[in-house]
Amino acid sequence: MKPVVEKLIGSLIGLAAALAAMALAFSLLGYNPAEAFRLLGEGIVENYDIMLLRVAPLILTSLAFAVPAFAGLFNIGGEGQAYVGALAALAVSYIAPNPVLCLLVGALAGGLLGYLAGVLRVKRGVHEVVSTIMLNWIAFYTVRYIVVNYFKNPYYPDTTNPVPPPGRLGQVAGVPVVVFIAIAACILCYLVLYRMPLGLAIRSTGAGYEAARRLGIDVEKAMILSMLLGGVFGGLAGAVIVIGETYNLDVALSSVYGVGFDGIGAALLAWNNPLAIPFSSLLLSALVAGGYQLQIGMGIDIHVLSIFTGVVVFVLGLPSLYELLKPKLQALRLAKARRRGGGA
Amino acid sequence: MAASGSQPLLAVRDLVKVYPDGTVALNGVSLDFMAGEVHVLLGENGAGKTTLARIIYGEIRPTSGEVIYEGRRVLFRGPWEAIRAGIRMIYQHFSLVGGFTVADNIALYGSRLGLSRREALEAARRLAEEYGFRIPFDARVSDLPAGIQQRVEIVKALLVEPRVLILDEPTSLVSPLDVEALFRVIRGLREKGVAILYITHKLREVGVIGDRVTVMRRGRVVATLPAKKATVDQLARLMIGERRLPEEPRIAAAGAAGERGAALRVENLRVVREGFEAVRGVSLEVRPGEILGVTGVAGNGQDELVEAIVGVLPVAGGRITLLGRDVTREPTWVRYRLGLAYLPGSRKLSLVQEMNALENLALGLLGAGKLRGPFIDWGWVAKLLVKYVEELGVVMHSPYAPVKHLSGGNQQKLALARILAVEPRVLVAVDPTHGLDIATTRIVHSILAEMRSRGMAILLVSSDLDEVLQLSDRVAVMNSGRIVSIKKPHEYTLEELGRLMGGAA
Ligand SMILES: Nc1ncnc2c1ncn2[C@@H]1O[C@H](COP(=O)(O)OP(=O)(O)OP(=O)(O)O)[C@@H](O)[C@H]1O
Ligand SMILES: [Mg+2]
Repeated sequence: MKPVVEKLIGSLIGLAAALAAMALAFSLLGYNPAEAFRLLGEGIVENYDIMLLRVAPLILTSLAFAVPAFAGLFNIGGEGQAYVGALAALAVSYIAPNPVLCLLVGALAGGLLGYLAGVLRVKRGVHEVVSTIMLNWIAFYTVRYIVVNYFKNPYYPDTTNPVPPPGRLGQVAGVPVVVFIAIAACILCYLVLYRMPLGLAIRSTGAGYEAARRLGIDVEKAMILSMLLGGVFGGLAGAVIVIGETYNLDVALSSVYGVGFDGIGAALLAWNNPLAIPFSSLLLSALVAGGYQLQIGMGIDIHVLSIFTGVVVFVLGLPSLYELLKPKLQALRLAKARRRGGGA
Repeated sequence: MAASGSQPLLAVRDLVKVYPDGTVALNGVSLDFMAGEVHVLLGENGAGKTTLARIIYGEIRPTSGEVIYEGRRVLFRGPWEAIRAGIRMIYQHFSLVGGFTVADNIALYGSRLGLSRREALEAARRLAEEYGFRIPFDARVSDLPAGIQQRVEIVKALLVEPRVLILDEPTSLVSPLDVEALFRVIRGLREKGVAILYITHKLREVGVIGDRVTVMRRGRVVATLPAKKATVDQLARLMIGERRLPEEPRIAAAGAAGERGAALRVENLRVVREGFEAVRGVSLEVRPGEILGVTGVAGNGQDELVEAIVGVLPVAGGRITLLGRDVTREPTWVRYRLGLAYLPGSRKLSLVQEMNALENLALGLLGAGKLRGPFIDWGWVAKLLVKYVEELGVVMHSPYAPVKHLSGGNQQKLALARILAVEPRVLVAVDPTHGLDIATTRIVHSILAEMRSRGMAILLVSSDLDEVLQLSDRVAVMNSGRIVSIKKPHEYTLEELGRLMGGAA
C-alpha cells in the first residue's frame, strides 16, 4: 500500500508546483491570479462538454505511453499513432459507416505503427524514442497529404467530408459514448498488466530486463507487444476524435494535434497507473475547457495553460530523469577527479 | 590482539531497528569492537547482521540506541561520513559501477576521500602488490568474476587505511584460493590495529579468522564467546536455538543415472566475450539423475559457460543439446520451455528485485510455461508461495513488498522456490547456497539430492568446494576456459584439486 501513498504524494506535489507556476505566470503577465483561477473554474463548469469530449482521447494516448513504459520503453509515438488512427477510422467510415468497425481499424492502424517501432527496437536496436519521433512526423505529413488530396470536403475546403451519421457515436445521458470506451480501455489495461501473463511479462521486462530473461521470459516479445498495445490505444485515441467528437478532420489536423504529447503528461501525473489515468486526464482536459473562459474573460492566451502540463511533466518526470542521468553524473565526477589527478 | 578491559574502538548500545514496513530487524543489540580484533558475527538469515552493519556504516539510522566510536557518541548522516571517520564496509553485494573500468572505480572512490586519480591508483597498485592481487585495472568491472571484483572492493576500501573494516559475507561467492588471499589481508590489518567486523555463515571460518564471535538470533545477541574455543556444533546450536539442525543428505553412490542418454550435452563449446575467448572448447554431459559439479577459481570461464548453456551469451562455436534437441541458437525462453531452469549466482539476476515475492514466483511459472491464461490465478500462486515459505523457512513480512527489501538469504530461498515450483528436467544452478545459513544450506542440499533422485539432470557450478565434492556424482575442474579434469569426487585428493584449479595440471 505504501508505494501508492508515496506516488499520490508525488502527484500532489506535482500538482501544487504546477498551480504555483501558473499563478506566477498569471501575475508576471499582469493578471490577477485569483481572478484567473476563478475564471478557470467557471470555464470548467460552463464548458464541461468540451472537457468530456477532450478527456477520451487524452485517456487513450496516456495509455499509449503508459503500457510500453511498463516494459521500460518510451513511446513518444502516441501522437503519430493518433493521426493514423484518425485517418483510418475516417476512411473506413466512408466505405462502411459502422462505428465499431471504424474504431477497430483505427486502433489497428495505430497498433501497426507501434509494432513497427517495437520491432525496430528489438530486432535492429533502433531506440524507440528516435523511431517514434520520426514516425510522428511521417504520420503527420502522410495523413495531411491524404486529407488534402483525397478527402477534402468540396463545400468546406479546409475540412474533410464528414463521417456519415450511421458511423458516428453520440452521447448517453449527456456523456459522450467514447468516454465510456476510454474508461473501459483503462480497465482492460489494468487487467492485462496485473491479471494476465502477458502483463506480468511486460512488467518484469521493465522492472528487471536482465533477470526476467534469465527466468525464461520472452522479453523481446514482451517489448514488441507492449509497443503494439500502446499503439492500439494511440490509434484508438485518433479514432474516437473522428468518430465521437469532430466527425471530420481539418487540413491542419488541429483536433488531433498535440493529443499524443498531452497524453504523456497525463500518464506521468498518474504514474502510469491505468486506474489513475482517467483522473489525471480529466484534470488536464478540465484545464483546456477552462482555458477557453480564460481567453474570453481576460484575453489570456490559452497556451499559458501548457505551462501547467509542462511543470507537471517536469516535476514528476524528474526522478526518472535523475535515474537516466545518474551514470552521466558519475562520469562527470570522474572526469573532474581525473583532471585533478593531472590526467593519469 | 586487544587486551581485555581496554576501551573498545567501536561500540553499539541498545540498538533497535524497525523498518518502515514494521519488520523488527534489531531488538536491543549491544556489542563492543576492539582495535586489532576480528569480531565474527553469526546468525540465521534475517537475524539482523546486515542491518547492524549498515547502521554502523551510517547507511541507515537506528530507531533507537547509539553508536559509540572512539569514545564519542556518533550519528553518521551517510556512509561518506563514516568513511571519512575511518570506517569501511565491503557489502554482501558489491558496490562497484559495472560499466566503468577498475581504475575508474578506484579513482571515483579515491576522489571522495580527497585523493587525486594518480594518488588513488598508486595506492591501489601498491596494495595490490602488497597482497599479491593480480588486478586488471583497465578491464570493465562488469566483465570481471566475483573473486576479482572482491579484490577491487578490498583495495578500494584500503586506499586510505581504515580504523574499522566491516565485511558482510565476503566469502560466499569466491573460491577457496580467494578466501586464502582475503584472510591474509585481514590478518595483516589486525596486526595494524584495525577493528574488523566479519559477518559469515560459514562456521568453520570462525576459528580460522576470528578472535571473538557473536551469535545473533531474531534481532538479539544470543552469546559472545572466544572464537578459538567455540565448536561448530556449539555455534550451530546457538544460532538455531531449540530447533533441530537438518541432516546433510547422503548421496547414494549410484544415483538414478543409468545409461540413458544425456539430458544436457555440450560439445566443443567456445564462447567469446568482449573479444576474449572465455570458454575454449568445453565438452560435457549431464545425464538424468546426475549432478555434475563444476568448480574452479573464479574467472576461469565458469560464468560464460553457464550463460552460454542457458542461452544468455551467444556461442562462438560448438553445440548445445538439451533433451535431444539442438538449442545452440535458441533464446533462453525456448530452452526453458523444453525443461531447463537456471538459478544464476547473483540475486540481482535470479529475482526481479523490484517485484514482489508473489510476482517472482509467478514469473518462474510463466517462464516454464506453467502459468495458464487468460487470467493468472493469484490465489493459486499465493498458496504455492505459502507452501515454499514454510518449507524453506522464508522470513518475510509481506508477499507484496519488493523482494529487494528481503535479507540476502531470504531472497535466495525465494529464488529456489521459483525452481522447485516448476520441476524442471535440467537445472543449471550457480552457487545455490551462497548467503544461506547452515540450516537452510542443508535443506537446499537435500532438495538438490532429492531432485537428482527423481531423475533431474543438475549442473552445479559452485565456488564452494565442499558443496561440489559432497553433492556431485562427477566433478569437473575448469581452468583458463577449459575443463582440465572430470572424475568422481572421491578420486580427487585436495592437493590435486588445488593444483588443477591453479592451472598446474
Ligand atoms: N529495507 C528493508 N525494508 C524492510 N525490511 C528489511 C529491509 N532490510 C532488511 N529487512 C528485514 O530485516 C530483517 C533483518 O535483515 P538483515 O538483512 O539485517 O538480515 P541478515 O542477518 O543480514 O540476513 P542474511 O544472512 O540473510 O543476509 C529481515 O527480516 C529482512 O527481511
Ligand atoms: Mg545480510
